[in-house]
Amino acid sequence: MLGIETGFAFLTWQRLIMLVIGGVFIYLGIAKKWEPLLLVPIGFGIILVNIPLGYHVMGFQMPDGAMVDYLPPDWLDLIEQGGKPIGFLSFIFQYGFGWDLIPLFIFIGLGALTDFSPLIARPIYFLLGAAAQFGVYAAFLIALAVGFNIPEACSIGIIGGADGPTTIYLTRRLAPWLLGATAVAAYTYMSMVPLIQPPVIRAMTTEKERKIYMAPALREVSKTEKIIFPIVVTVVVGLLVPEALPLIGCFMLGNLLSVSGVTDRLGTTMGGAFIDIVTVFLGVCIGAYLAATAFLLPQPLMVFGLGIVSFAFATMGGVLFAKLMNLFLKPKINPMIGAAGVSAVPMSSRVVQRMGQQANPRNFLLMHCMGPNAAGVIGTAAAAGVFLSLLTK
Amino acid sequence: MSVNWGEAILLVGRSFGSVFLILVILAVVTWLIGFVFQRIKKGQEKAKSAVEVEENKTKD
Repeated sequence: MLGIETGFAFLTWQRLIMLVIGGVFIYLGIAKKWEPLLLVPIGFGIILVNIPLGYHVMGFQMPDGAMVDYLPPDWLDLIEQGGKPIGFLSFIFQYGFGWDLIPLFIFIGLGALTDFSPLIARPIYFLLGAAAQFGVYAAFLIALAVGFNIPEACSIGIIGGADGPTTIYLTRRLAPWLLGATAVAAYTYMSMVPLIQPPVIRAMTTEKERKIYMAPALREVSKTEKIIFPIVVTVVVGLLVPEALPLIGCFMLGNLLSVSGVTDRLGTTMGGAFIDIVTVFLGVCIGAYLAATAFLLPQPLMVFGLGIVSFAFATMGGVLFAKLMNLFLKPKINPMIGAAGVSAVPMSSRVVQRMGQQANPRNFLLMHCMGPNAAGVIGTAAAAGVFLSLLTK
Repeated sequence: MSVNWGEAILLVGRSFGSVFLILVILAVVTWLIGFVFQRIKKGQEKAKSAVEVEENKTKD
């Protein structure tokens, strides 16, 4: 038409499916309000990359000079062989993900937004954060059983930690060709926490257990304790698992900036404008990594399926461990708070809070959930660090 | 592709065990810090109330 090469001739059914998926993501974000800050940019990214001939969006020049309008899954290897990114998002992806910057920047912002007071007040909640990592290992074994290799299985398992940045960080190092699938699975399931967790929690608990009352007040945590906590966690985790130091260090830096009392401006910026800007690039880039040619294949679709298994097992692990703790604790804890051990902050806490109030209107579990929730973030980062140190020696 | 299940189970055991150990250590350290701070706070409150009692006695 008028000598212009249009994209219609290249609009395959696979691309059409992906365009619809992009639209569904945007719909879920806007109409259902499921993690709109993530699903809307991811959905738009999916649409951007699946419009044919968009070389300057997420394009890549192969080592032989041929251009493709998507980023191939093995782009890191191709760059070493002489390939180069040519799209504006490809550049952001190359540096933001290839150098781990975006997940780490997100962690600084998350740290600034996290309140560790409930965890400091009741350190026993650390155990629930550890138990919820069960999902990581269950999914790891299932992924191995269905044919993935060990590094791929680690990247799939970590989805159960419900921590997007950690999933991206680990996958980029162990199985970069699965990055799009694992990242989208992690963020999609995080937004689906209100759908995934309640049936698992109900299956794992009796009505009597769900009704267990917990006094809402926790002890008051002093400012000095809040300041010491991020420093101590960084030093302890850094010494035990140096591979987890970038994640934990950034997470705790953000928190220190917000609790120090003298860097309020920095803390507010990190937890506000900064994380918002990075989230836009994170979402669009993840979406734009999902080109039909690279995503609508059996392996990425299987990753997507295993992600939900991982998530369900993580919820199960947290709840069952809380029940185990109840054998020794007095007064007993409501085992549902174990489900908040997955690090989907604050979504899983809200889910448990809502279920707690449905079971017993006197219950206000939110503060109790925030403890395991914050511990879950630390636990998932530690799990990623341990995987890295065991596999990259 | 055959899976080396022995290696996989070992990896799970070492990894899950390490994560648990790390978080248990963090729990203990956090509890200790809280314990020390609560002791200090109690001591300060005790000293403050003792001073107040002493002041009231002097006034009387």
